Amino acid sequence: MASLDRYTCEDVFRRLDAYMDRELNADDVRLLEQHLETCATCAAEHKFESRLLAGLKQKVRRIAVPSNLMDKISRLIADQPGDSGGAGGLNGPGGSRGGGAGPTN
Amino acid sequence: MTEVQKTAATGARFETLLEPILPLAYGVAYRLARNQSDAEDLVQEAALLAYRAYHTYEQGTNFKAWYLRILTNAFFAKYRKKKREPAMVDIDDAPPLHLLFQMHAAGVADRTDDPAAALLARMDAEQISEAIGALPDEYRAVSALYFLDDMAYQEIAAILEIPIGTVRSRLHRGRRMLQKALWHIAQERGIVQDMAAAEEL
Repeated sequence: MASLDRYTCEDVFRRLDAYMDRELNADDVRLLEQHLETCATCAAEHKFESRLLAGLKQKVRRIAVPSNLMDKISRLIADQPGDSGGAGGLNGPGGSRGGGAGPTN
Repeated sequence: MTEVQKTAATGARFETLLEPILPLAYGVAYRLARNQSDAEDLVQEAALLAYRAYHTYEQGTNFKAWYLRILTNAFFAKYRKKKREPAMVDIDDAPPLHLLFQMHAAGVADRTDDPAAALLARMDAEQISEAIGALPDEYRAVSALYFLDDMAYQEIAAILEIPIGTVRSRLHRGRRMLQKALWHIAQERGIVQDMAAAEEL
């Protein structure tokens, strides 16, 4: 268990994922960061895990969306009868849609 | 406005909402379906389902979450039945910090200031995809939403309609599994050996 004013390596270890995901409350963040400043082992583990996550996110986000995907969807919707939609001419301004790769936001 | 004009306007509004999130939607679908063809089909099917249910969408609310809920539901209802590929590696037994410990054990972690970056720099997109693809469906879904869009646990929970505690545990366990899969691939493809042989990482 953590004391009120200090985290052990075990306390940090159990909270590292939540910390990297910004899901800890302010008190936990403060105690955890205090520990990281004074413990080289935990700091190295945190650095490795956070760099790995950041690198993976960067690689995973490089996805080339098929350039005609939005066009295909537009045609599907245009073919829908009645109700929510249906009547064609839904390609919107500019004709060709979608296109290219791009990171997501 | 005629009925035809109304439906055209509805379709245009729907597409205006969908288009900005298409890269994210396709990315999630690709991670779930694990190939381009099924990912395209999944995005299109989800778009059609969403369009048909568009009258239930509350304007001004989170369209991205609404559409991704439809997409992930469609995947779990249909696509995952299609392919049951055996897990590439036994990922049940994935200890914390697996990758860092393995890199230390192989003598390739101490030679660089940033071992995680050094490893990832030698892995291509296909190898990363393969590692993510090794995760079980439920773990892959949570991980895809997290990796692609930095979503908070709460938002992932809302999309997948699971408790926030389940998101947390799947995400954290999924990361451990992913590390094990990454190390497995790095070893199998000679990446670890290359790193050990390199003068500088």
